Amino acid sequence: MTMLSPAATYHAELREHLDSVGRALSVQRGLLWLTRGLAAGTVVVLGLVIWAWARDAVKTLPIVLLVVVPLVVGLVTAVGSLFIRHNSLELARRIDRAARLHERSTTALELGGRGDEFPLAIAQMRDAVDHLKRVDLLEAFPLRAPKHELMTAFFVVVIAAIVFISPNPWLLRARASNPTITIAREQAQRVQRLADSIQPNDAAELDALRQLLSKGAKTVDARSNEPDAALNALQDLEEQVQQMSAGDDQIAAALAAIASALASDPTTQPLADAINTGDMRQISQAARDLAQSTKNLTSQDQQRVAKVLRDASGRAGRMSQSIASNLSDAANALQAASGADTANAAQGAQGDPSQGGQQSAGGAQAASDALNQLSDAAAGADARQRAASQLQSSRNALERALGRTQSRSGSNSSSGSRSSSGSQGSNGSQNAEQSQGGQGRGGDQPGGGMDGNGGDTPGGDQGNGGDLGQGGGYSTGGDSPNHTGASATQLDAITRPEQVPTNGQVAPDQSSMNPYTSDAGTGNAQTAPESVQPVYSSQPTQGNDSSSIPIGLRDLVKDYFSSLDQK
Amino acid sequence: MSVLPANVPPAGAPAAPVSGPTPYRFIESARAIEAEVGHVIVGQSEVVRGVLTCLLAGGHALLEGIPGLGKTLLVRTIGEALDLTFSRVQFTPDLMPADITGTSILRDTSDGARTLEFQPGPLFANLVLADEVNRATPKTQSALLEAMQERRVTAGRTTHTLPEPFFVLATQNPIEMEGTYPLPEAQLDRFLFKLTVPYPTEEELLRIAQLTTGVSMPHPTHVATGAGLLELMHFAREVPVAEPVMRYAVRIVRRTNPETPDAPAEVKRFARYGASPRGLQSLVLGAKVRALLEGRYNVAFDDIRAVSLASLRHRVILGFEADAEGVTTDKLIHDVVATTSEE
Repeated sequence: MTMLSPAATYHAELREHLDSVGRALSVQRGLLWLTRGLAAGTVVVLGLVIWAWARDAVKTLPIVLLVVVPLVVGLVTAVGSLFIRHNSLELARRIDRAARLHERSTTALELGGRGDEFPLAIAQMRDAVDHLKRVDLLEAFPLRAPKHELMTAFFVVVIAAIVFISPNPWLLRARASNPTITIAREQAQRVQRLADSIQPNDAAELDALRQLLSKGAKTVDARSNEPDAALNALQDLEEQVQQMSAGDDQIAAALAAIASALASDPTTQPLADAINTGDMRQISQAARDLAQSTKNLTSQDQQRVAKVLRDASGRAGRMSQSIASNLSDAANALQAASGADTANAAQGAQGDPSQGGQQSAGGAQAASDALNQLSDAAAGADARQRAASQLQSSRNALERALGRTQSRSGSNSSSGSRSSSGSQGSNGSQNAEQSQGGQGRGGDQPGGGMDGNGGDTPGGDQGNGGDLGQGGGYSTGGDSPNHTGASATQLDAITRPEQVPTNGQVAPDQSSMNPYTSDAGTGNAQTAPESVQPVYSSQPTQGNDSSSIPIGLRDLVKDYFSSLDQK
Repeated sequence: MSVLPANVPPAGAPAAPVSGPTPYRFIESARAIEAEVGHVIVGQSEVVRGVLTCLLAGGHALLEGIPGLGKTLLVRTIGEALDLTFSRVQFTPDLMPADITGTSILRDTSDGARTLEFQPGPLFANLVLADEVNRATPKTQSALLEAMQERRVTAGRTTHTLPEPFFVLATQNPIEMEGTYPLPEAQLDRFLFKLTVPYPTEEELLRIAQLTTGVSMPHPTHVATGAGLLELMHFAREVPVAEPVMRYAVRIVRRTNPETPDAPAEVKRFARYGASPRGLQSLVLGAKVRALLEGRYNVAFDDIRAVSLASLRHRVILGFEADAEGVTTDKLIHDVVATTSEE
């Protein structure tokens, strides 16, 4: 065992005490750096908020992130500070200052380090150790909340909150001077409303559409300050929706194909009528009603409906395998139910009706399920159709606001004709009487078409024939008398696009009285309005651009033509 | 009130049975001297402490104050309390160097021959009171100051060593400057401390009147010897000084110099010369003694600050602008100390 000299003993004792001081200071330093980290984190948050504020994207900032960033920075700095070792001399200086030891520790540490052994040195070290023993560390280094850092964090948070909720005057001014930004935002809101209108309890396939639209709306809104970027986002979204609608053509064609078959039976007549309207929502509802009614059909009715559905299935098979399958399943189920009823009747006569009744009910339920699937498919197609319509309308509005021609519309028109008119046109050629009245968009049907119901009432502009997809502008359709009110939502005037073969022209089908314009009169127009519309609509834009329209009237003119385009 | 270290017995307790100088003995001796002087000198505790510090540090002190404040009494009392040989020289313009250093006289020896014998002057004492030192001519002042520095006197071809301990306590009167010869800066530098004797307070004056106008005057008793004082002086020099504290003292001294880049603006403006390295020695030695007197075995920043005025005030030479604006060295040193960082 080695005996330490008095100086070495005191030195070791001194270092031990200084280590305890170091631990106390580490805790203090951790607290200090925690608050410093918090303050730094709040500054980062402030930076984020200002960055988002400058881009009018404050609402897109996730609140969780804003809360987590300061906490994480604070914790990281606090933990990091715990790993920093204390310097002994610095510790001695600090304890001397804090406990008013008059440099006893500092001197003793130096003496011990040098190994001085003269009497006064030993006395000094013993004196220092004795004083250190009496030091209350909590009294010398009380745990105080770092006020400066906390105040800094508080003020930064307040500033960030103020910035967060304050409108950006520069952006407001930019919006005022650039209405395109406002239009882009409006379109984003419309797309968002469309997304919201898709019920969460709808078919699962619609959830994806709803999420896609909602996400796209947010993107467009975030980029609204850069209308070009917003337009690009809108186009991307439109393309994605079109990709989702790839199978809708077949559904529409199959539905059109089965309409005549369904019309042959009073039970399925409402579904046929709905198909003839071309409104997928009505078709969905009619299919659902039919599914419900199949449960209450008599055996004979079931047989008859089964026959109709099987016939329809055969017709749909060429267009859509899924529709054909649904119809076939329903027909089989109804046939089975009918057979079960018959057997039930026979067994009832023999005194055992229960088994046959169960089979009958099960068959009716299976038929109902199959028809509900058909309904879901139609509902999905309806939603995608509305989405595509809204997106196209929004894109058109934004393009107009940006002063671009509708060149893209032409190309889109091609795809539009592919999705609706094309298929319906084929239907028209096959079932002329239904397609004319029902869809009114038969590609091969020139001239004025009949109204949706095929009756005598004016059918609007639907059914105007033309060369499908030949660069025509995208018609906004108009209020078809057959609309079931789906268009009367807050989404847009357009909820169901009408592909109008107009040789590249756009034909607004509805106008309103405007006090600033004179009556168009009933003069002897030599040119169809479709052919003049592009020139007609470009005039105000050019007028606005060339300042030939007074400033006070520019917004009015723009609103007017925008409203025409949106109809 | 000083705070005793943990291993120092409280005042009045018997001294530890340890031979030779120990921290106990140092503090006890210092307290005893202070107490004895306090019996005679009313108030002036700072001056008493300053003089004592100066003596224990082995330096000479210059006391400045108006007449009648008890400067001479203070020095004489300390001499009596320390059981030292004491001499007093009243400096006048006609005082010659030989009058203080001594002179060789012709003396008849027993065998009838004649020889020159050195007759020591008043400087040959442990404690010399040089009263109104600024009234002597520079020649005499120079002789005194040389003796202070060299601690020996040369007469003819013979050098005579002065007794140890050897302290010179000089006084000077800041008023009545007519017919005086202010001490040159180089000679002022020889004094470890320059102490300013303040005017007594009302209470102190009352006590002075009561104490000195009676039938008898109190007399101090011997509480230390010259040999004991020498041991204490050596002991004080052993007090350790931590490097940060030493550096602090160095920074203070450096910053009294107007040429130093980080000197305070006031120093740069008003000071002509700053303190010399001898000023630093004075500062550290004084701080060591003060630390012991405060019951500590190490020098603290506070000790440096406490002795800075006494150590440096006569070493900082002011310029004309300072005189014109009434700036004193005390103020400059205050500024220097206040603005010097401990780090």
